[in-house]
Amino acid sequence: MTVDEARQALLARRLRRRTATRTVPTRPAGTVPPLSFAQERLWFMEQYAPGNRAYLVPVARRIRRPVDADRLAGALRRVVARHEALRTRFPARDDGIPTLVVDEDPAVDLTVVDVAGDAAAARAAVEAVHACGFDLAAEQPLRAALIRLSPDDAILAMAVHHIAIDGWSVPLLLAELMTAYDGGDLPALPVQYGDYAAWQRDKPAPDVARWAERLDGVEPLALPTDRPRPAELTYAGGSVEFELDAGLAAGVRALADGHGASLYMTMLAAYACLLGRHAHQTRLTIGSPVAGRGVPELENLIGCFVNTLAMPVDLSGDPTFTELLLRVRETALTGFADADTPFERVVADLNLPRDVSRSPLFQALLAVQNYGTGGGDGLDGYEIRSWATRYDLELYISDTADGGLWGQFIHNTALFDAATVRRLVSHLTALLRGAVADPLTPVAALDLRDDGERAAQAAWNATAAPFDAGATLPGLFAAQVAATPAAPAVTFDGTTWSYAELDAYCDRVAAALRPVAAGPGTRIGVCAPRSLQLPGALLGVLRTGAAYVPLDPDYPVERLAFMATDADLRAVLVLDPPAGWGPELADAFATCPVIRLDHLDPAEPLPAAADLPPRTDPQPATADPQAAAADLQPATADMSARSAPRHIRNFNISPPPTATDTAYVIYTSGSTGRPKGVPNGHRGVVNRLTWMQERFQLTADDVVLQKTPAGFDVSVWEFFWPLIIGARLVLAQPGGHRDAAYLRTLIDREGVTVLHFVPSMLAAFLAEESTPGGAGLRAVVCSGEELPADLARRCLAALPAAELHNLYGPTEAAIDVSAWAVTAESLGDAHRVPIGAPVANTTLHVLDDRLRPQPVGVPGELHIGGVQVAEGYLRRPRLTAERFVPDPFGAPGARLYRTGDLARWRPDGTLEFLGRIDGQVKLRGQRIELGEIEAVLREQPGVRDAAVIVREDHPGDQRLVAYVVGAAPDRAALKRLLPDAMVPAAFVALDALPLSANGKLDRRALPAPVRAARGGTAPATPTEQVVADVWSAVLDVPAVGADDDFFDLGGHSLLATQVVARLRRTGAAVGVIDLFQNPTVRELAVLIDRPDDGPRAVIRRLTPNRPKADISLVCVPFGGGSAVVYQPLADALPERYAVYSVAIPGHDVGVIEDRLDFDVLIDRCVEEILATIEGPISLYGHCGVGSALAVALARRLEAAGRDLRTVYIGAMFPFAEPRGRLARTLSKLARMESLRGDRIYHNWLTSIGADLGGLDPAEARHIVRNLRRDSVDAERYYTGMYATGAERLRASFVTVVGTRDPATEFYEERFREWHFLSDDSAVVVLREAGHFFLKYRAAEIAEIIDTPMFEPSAPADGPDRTWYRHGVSHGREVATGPQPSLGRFAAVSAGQLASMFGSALTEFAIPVWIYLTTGSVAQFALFAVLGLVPGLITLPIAGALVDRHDRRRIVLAGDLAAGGVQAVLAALLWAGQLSVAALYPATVALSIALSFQRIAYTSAIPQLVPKRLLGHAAGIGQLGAGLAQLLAPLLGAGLLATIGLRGILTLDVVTYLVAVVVVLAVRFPATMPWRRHETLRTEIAGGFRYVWGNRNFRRMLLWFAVLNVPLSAIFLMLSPLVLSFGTLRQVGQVSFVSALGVFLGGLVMAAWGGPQHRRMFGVLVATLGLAVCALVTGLRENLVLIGAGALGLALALTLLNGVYTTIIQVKVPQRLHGRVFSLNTLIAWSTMPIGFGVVAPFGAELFRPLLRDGGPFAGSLGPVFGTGPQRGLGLMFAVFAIAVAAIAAVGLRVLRRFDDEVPDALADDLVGLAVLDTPATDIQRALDAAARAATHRPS
Amino acid sequence: MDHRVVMNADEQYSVWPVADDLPAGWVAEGHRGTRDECLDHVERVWTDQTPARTRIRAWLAGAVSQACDDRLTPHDVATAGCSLVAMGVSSLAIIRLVDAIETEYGVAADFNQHALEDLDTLTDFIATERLRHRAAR
Repeated sequence: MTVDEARQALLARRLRRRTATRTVPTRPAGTVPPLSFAQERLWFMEQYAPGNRAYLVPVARRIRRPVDADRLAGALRRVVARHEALRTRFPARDDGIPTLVVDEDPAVDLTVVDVAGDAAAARAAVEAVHACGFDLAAEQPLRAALIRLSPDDAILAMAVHHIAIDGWSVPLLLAELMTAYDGGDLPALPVQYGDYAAWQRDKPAPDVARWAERLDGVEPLALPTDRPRPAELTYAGGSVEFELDAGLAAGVRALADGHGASLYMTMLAAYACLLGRHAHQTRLTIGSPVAGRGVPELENLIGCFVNTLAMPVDLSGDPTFTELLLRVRETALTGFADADTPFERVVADLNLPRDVSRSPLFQALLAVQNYGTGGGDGLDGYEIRSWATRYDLELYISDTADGGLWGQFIHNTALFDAATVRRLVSHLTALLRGAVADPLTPVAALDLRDDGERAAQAAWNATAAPFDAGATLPGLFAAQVAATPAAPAVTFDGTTWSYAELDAYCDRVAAALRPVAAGPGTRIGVCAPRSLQLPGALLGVLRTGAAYVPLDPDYPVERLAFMATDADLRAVLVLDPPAGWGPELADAFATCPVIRLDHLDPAEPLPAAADLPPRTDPQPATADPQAAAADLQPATADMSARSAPRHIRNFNISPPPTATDTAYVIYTSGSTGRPKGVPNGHRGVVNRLTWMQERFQLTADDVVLQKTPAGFDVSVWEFFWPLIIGARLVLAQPGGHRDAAYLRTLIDREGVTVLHFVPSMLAAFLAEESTPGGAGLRAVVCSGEELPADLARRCLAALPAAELHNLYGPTEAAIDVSAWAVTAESLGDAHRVPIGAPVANTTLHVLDDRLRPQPVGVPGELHIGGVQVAEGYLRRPRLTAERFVPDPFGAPGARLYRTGDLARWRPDGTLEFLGRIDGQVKLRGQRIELGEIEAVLREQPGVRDAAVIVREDHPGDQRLVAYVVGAAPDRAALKRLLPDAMVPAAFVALDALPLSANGKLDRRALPAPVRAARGGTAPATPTEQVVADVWSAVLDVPAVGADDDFFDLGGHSLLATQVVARLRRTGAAVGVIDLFQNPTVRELAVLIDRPDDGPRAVIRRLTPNRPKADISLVCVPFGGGSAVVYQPLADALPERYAVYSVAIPGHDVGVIEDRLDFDVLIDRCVEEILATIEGPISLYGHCGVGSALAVALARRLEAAGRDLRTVYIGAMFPFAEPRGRLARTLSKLARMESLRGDRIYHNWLTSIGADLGGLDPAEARHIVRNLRRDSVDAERYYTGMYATGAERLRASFVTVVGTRDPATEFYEERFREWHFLSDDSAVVVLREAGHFFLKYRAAEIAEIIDTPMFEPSAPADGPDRTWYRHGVSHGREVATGPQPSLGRFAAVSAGQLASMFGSALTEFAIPVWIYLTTGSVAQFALFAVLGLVPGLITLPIAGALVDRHDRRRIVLAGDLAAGGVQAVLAALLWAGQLSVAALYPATVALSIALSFQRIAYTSAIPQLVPKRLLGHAAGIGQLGAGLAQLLAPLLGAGLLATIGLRGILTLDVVTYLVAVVVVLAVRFPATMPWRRHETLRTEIAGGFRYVWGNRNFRRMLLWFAVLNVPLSAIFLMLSPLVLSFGTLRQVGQVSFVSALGVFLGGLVMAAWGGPQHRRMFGVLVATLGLAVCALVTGLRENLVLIGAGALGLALALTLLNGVYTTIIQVKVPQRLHGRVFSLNTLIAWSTMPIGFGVVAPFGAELFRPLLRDGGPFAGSLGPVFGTGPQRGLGLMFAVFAIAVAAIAAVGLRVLRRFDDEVPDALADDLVGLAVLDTPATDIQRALDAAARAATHRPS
Repeated sequence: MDHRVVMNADEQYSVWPVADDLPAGWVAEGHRGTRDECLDHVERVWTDQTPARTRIRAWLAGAVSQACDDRLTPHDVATAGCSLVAMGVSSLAIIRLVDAIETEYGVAADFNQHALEDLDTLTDFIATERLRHRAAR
């Protein structure tokens, strides 16, 4: 912000509360204030980089008058004494928590330096003051110096740590200082900084979530930098100042005023535009400081009040500047409204990827301010030259005295040069000018260039140069032949042809082509390896006037065949087809004649003209008009050559080409896979060669190497340039272009002077140091791929005599279009080699997507114009029109070729290539420069060459993989050089990088990384061999040595289970734990070979033998968990712990052991513990089974007299079955445990983050089975204990819970439940943890175990903590007031369920009654909606009220209101006064009352019942509610028929009376009720953001929304359909059958658990089922049929919903389930009114007449559906059925990839870790924790 | 409807946003639609991708040759690089040529002017005239 705005706001507030009291109270004297949030953050930052200048606020002022130093020092002390902040120190306590000491006395000295007029010395002295930071613990945070230049000229330099000062404070400080110096009065300060800090801490917590919402998904600013970004943030800054003249400033202000915006908002909009254009981003975030002094008494206080707001700016959608300004205004205003939220809290709340290479959340800062330029203190400014910055770029704007604006950019010098920033200034100015001139211009169309830059860009493209526009390649060659017939032309394999010999061969070729009528406009294939004949063949083709099409003999035959057909070849010239190529060759070229080049002998005399076929007629038959007409066809071969140039022998060939004819067609493979031919004309090629000759000055003495395959356009200049100049062409052996050693030898032997390299091959060439060679080279030309700067430097060093040129050009232009001469000087320290400036008669343009020129430095698509642009794509009109576009800058009618390459202009008029537009590498949201990583790799010792790619060998698993030639580099070293995201995940060492046919890096040939074994000793014993084989197969490693470590080879726990499973099949009884303990082949084999000595031990030691350990920790895994789960914890605990784990038989994957009964297992554990473990013991048990076993062990061990210290319970509280037969039976009925399928558990385990995905199904089933039985055992154990009572233990209980774990909800209360076993219970909370935190949070659990939890020192909650002790409790508290009990729950539930049943009856009866009374479907539908929607709409309000108030009262109020409404209705009805009109408000009121009643009752259940029984209680409640829904329609219909609506209403009123009486009689215990974690709004908004971000989820959501329209209509119309012919009773029957369908569906889902893989497919099948059932329903007026249809409909819908639930469970992280379900409910409900309110009634009106007797379809469809007044409804069902089927079909199309593309959800705990990994306040600790977690986290 | 199919004197096609001004030397072909629709249209109508001027030039070389009763071969004409007059094309032949051009391309040529021009200029003239006619339609 904008101090402007802050000041205005402040002023306004001051005016408002002129008489108001102070906001910030003075703290009691003598109390030490807390740290403010800002101080805390800055203190932490200081710990992270101590003494850093980044947080220093430098001040320097010129005092041009005599100064008394002592008096100034006194004044300084007086000011410091006034302001607490300036004399505060921050020593840390022993535990690293900062404290604060306010010194009574100021300890500031004024250093006096006399420099006697020496300006440089003065500057040095100022910089010395600003040079270093502060020791915040020991020093007061201000230092000052007076530097005297002369008696009446001095500089006052001060440095203040940001912790004590902010920008606002600086002028205050100076003004007070000068007032004090002049002896003036300083007004008393109402409060001190400490008072503010205390006040700030006491304020209610701000709403961080709103910021998180606004900033969700921000991406880092990707400004193109001048240098690679360092791995860690650097702070050195530079400054560029500028001014906007008064005219422009006035314009900007007027623009702001005209839109109700501030100067700040306008500058923010412009700045965002500028950065967005440079960074090629449409969404970016800019930070702005806000003064943070919203309270008047802080106005004159010195201290750090400033806060930072992150302003997201959205540039998408091509807004005009006005639109953008309004957007920004909105953003800024909402931002200001939440300006109090400390920035660090915002950062911590966002799920940002951790990145220490840039500032969090935003990298560009904007401050519009009106302080800092002096004024008020009577001092002059003094320029500060040493700047520090924490961002990439900071922009400060303030007013100048003359009405203009002063601006300053502070840039990070590690990233940007000052020149680049000056260009930004120019662009910003131009942009503002443009916006002011026409604010309705789209911002993308605002020209960032000033006139100078426009003129410069035009000059760079002024490339016109003379060349022979009429020349052709054969013409130029012929001229050369004529000039130097005897000179050597071509050398191959030791043989050389002279120009004359080559010419003769050309003639032979041309002659051989005559019979096929080769000529202009035709194409001839040339399929020949490099050979003497090849250049002759190409020239021979050209001589006929035809274009040649190179066909690389190394290409696959299919590709050759495709090209031959696609190019419509007249003939193919073939040389030396390799043996065995015959039939395929014939196939490939089946479409055209094949002419063998090897059959053409140049030495043989040419056949005489007369011998040639009869078509040759030297005298055209001009008398024949037809022949004359034929002559007009240019493609006709018979055109006379009478006037052919003299040097072409006088025999008859077609006319040579003209310059506009095509010279060659080269195929290029596109991203689409189908290669496309690109014809290029002679004129372009000749221009290109002319340019090259101008540039390189080839002479007859030069030797050019030809090694590029003819299928690549580089070969075009290699072939023809020397041959039209008279130089010698040396051809490399076929395949030789990939052999660096051969090339070196060849170059030396033949004296090659000029050659071309693709950079990859150049790297290989330079790396081949063993062979000398290349000394005679004078020019090396590179093109074809990006030339890495480091490679260029190496080339210059290795070949000092050779010039190096970097050329660029796509196939779609004649060879190259730009060039840059690389020299050490021109290269400097650039990290990219430019592709240079355009070649002659060529223009290059960097344009945006609307072909608007981009200014210097801004990336855009490179476009090529000029004479070299190709003709298009051969026979691809669409593609040609798409890629070759009108050229707005060139000659009339000219075309530009859009390259698809990203480039930008450099200030010197050359271009920089930035990669493919579509091929940008983005990894986890970050743009990654692969070239940068490669460059760093190549600098590593032992690395000769490197390539880095992003691989996705497993779907969804994108990894950076580095390929290095030489030794794999040290990862730790790379981590210092590269940001984390850029450090490759895997390294593959290769002998050489694979190159494609043209010498480019062949990315597809790079192998997937394999985990390589160390080798070493081979396995010796048969068992070792077996183990090694298994590893080799599981790990995909070729050979495993006896000493190879499983985990070093890339093994992890999931693979370990596979190993164990396979070994088990060979008869080796090992468990996963054994593999962890014996990780080498040898060790594991020894274990396997050990003689069987009875049952395997149950207690396993996880730590090395530690005889001196103080304490042993015995851990019990969770159900289904193997003993190994505790290995990370064991590794993390300090050495004084010996850690053991219980290997529960049957829990270890792969070892199919008999499960032991609970008691037997305990016996064995106790026995083994007593025998093997000495000294004190603590226990840890996780989840249900683990906790029960731990408790059982604890009781037995204490009974055995062992010293038991602490029982740690992870993620669980006691749980039990209800006692009493009825409750038990009901509970069992509700859970249907015996019916439930394993997959339900499988899904559940997956959803909470257990690893089951990698197991084979049998193993997973085995685990799930054991888990289920163990859980039952565990519950029985607890239940038994509760029944019989248990002795209290001496040991204390510590429960560890995750904040995101639903299993440990109510932990704030529930940890006291352990008092039934112990006097001492504590609960520790792990932030962001889910249920299986053991796996991910081992380091923190180790800390927890190692912290005395019952001491006062146990850490409490704090913003920087990832875990904390929430509470501790001693002894059993005496229960007061009502206690939860099953009876209380049963009583209240009975009342509520009875009343709900009553309302269900009413809800059913009212619409039916309406229908029967009015006969109107519309009314019927309306009441269905009215009964539903108002309740839904009030649901959020009801939820919020229920959370805030006594649930009992709300239940009561709901009961009374619902009952009351019905009583009134009943009364009206009895009185015969009930009209439909009265029912409207009554139905609405009822719906709302019910909504309150239900939500209050549901959330009160945890209050009423002991929480250990909660699961069962909730189940019983649901069972009751379900039964009510099931029976209500059946009874409702019956009752409506017998006692009528009157009776039903009366009955309902009675049920409510019962409910009210019960609630009045029962008091609710004061225990925790259920509460929403998030408001419904947040849930829905959050769910929407999550779902909308994923294409597949988005589609799914839309699909459901559409599906709901016909579905809701179908379900609604069931009752009217039955009533159209049947009775009320029958409606009831059908409704009952429907409810039965729901029940059956529930049963099926429980037993089945949904499909295992293709879940979305399951949903679609269920939808088809719905369609079929709807059709059946509509078919006949037959109650059985309709009943069957209704049952099917309900069943299918239930299945659909059930499967959908499993989708969410499995595909969405658990913490988001609530959000996604809420959202889906919203969507479902939102379209339902359309179905209910529109589709159903109108459909009924529409369809009913159709099938009346005599209706329009009575004849056609009548036989199927029957006819009658109501049969149209049946037809309507059929039509809806078709609609549903169609929607399912559409779903099949749009959702078909859902199952494959949407990966399983990330484990909830992993999500939590990422949340924690975001830069937290305590960065250092967060880093440590992340590092620890990474080290100990099993993969 | 945000794009249109456009064409230059070589009868090369491309597409261009309706909202943006057309660069010089390009005219709207008549078809409008989304970018994709326009490209689909191009795929249908652009059957011969040889630049119109290449075709016209070849035709002209033959036509000139014919007009002067084959005293010049088409190849002579194509490679002469000088004005028709300098080639020795008679005024009668030029009248015949102008006639042939009008018949073939519907372009009215002014022989006094074109007699002094070379083949390329004449080619350009015919191509741009044709484009102008198209634009006028």
